[in-house]
Amino acid sequence: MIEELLATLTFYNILFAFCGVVLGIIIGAIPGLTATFGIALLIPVTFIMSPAHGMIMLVGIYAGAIYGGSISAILLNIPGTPASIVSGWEGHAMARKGLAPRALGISAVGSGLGGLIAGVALIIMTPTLAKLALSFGAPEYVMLVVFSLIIVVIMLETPIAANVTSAFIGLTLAAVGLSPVGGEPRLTFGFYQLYSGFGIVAVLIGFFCLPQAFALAAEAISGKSEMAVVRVGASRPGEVWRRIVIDKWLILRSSLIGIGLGILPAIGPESTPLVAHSVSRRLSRTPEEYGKGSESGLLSADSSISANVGGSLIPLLALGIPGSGAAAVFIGALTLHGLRPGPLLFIEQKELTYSFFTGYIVVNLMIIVLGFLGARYLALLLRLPKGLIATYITLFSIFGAYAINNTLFDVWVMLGAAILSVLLRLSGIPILPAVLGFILGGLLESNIAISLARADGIGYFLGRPIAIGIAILSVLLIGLTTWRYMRKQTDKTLRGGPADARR
Amino acid sequence: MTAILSALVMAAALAVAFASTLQSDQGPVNYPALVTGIALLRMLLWLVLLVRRRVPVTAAGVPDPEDGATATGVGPLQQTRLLGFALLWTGYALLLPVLGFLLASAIALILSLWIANGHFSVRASLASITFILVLSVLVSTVLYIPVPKSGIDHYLDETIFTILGG
Repeated sequence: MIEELLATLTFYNILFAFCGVVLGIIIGAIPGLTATFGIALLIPVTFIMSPAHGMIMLVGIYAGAIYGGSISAILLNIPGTPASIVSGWEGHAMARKGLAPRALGISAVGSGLGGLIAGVALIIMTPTLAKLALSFGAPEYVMLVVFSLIIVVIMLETPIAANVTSAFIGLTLAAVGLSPVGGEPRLTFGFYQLYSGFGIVAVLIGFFCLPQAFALAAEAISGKSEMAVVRVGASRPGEVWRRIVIDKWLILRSSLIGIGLGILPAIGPESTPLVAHSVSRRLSRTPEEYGKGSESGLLSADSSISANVGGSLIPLLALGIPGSGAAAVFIGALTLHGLRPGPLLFIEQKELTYSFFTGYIVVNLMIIVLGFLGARYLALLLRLPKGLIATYITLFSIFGAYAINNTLFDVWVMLGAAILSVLLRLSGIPILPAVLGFILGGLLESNIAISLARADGIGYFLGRPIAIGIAILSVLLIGLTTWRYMRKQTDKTLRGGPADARR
Repeated sequence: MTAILSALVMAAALAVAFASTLQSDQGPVNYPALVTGIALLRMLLWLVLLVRRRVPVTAAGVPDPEDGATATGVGPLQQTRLLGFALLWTGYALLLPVLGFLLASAIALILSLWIANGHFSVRASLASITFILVLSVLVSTVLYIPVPKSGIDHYLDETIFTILGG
């Protein structure tokens, strides 16, 4: 396997990894632009590349953006991405003490090492999981999709009622097009362009890019255009590496937390650093330093975020089930190249998957190098006026949506998705369950149809232990959530407080 | 109020979608009818929760991990400018087939920067025109994307291919 991995270490793979990381860091460093946004916006660009180069560039953008979010968090206490909140607590406190270069260095190396550990897990776990998934039939896939949606619904911090609504909106969007059984059009309203369903990339650009562009335009219009970024000095390698050596087990532990949470759908990089940080704090000999510029706290947060990226790619590649919103967007990229993520990818596109693994390792090495040497220069990009960024993002969103199928219809689909995204946010409904519902809806419907066609009675389902196992796990999760909700309500009633409708 | 209105619009759209699934050849019991029906019911339930103020929703919405941008409060004049920004880009998509990629994009970029930055900048406008010219050349020679074209685009193509051919 190592030989096969090394064989994919080509000049072009490294070049596209480099481009991806640089673009990702730039995107992540600009507050308001997320990793998911970056991937969605640049998917159309990968159309002119080979699938391997495209996927390597996108994973570079993903990992780079997640790391890049820490730069503005450390220097300005403004998280570039929602995942960088904890990096802001610790990193900015360090920057206020005059330790900005060290904080940037620790963040870069911590992110890179977390990503490398996740890379090892990706290489080991993905083929194993994919082999297991080869034995999966339609009922297993139905239960896997249902399980993923249940996790999304119960794990997000937003009210469960809102999460369920969002998931079913996503499933409704996925049901548009010709029926997989009879071939008759559904929910197309006479538009033949919708016979193959909504274009995934157009919808994702609409969900993630246009609303961000408008939010940035709103900030520019309200006068919050530029940020005062001052030049910072270079990081000293000795100081950073000393910290890495001291905290080697902390990095490993935080990375494992990141990988574990990344594998679960819905737990993206946003909540991971909070968990890793609080675990590190609890196990630390100096917990009082946490939150006040702790180098260990910053390391635990940044290594867990990067590891989460790798973790979220494991179920995506092995099962076709994304572990985060950004990983869900990868399905759009694979679909664009005529590929379907899942166990068959390892058989049909072995070289692609190995290139992807190698690319992911290279990407994380580049984060260490680029972050260490270039973060202080890349931070100057924060001076770009938001009005300028908003304008060009909007142009590229429209251009990207058009370029996929060379049709203006996709531009209107994208605008519709952007309006839906805004309506969801305004009414307090999260977008992530809708995205996962939309991405996984087709898989769910076709596998339900296959299961029902093959089933000759209840015996068909009773003979599927994996499907039954996932079903039991799903029921247990729902039961546990209901029990926690009822206990919370009882506690509130006993205390005489108002009932909480959040859960 | 914004939250309730947004939920109402979505509920209306889901009701239309649900009604269309009931007229399907597959009969009233089919997969799209099931998921659309549940989505509609859940949206109505959410609407009830919003009306009864049982959920902590503000106009800015509840925390969403995918929502990277910070919520911004804008006044009436700024709201008009933001609306102008939205209308400009919607108009761009409408006028693209008529004006062609080069002209429509150049106009949209210049006006968009004017609206977003609050002042007209000759330097930004010239930079935008240069950018869109370079992008148009790339579209014709490298990316091969058949963007909508008008007189100026055809003239640019002829010039490029005359130079390349000569």
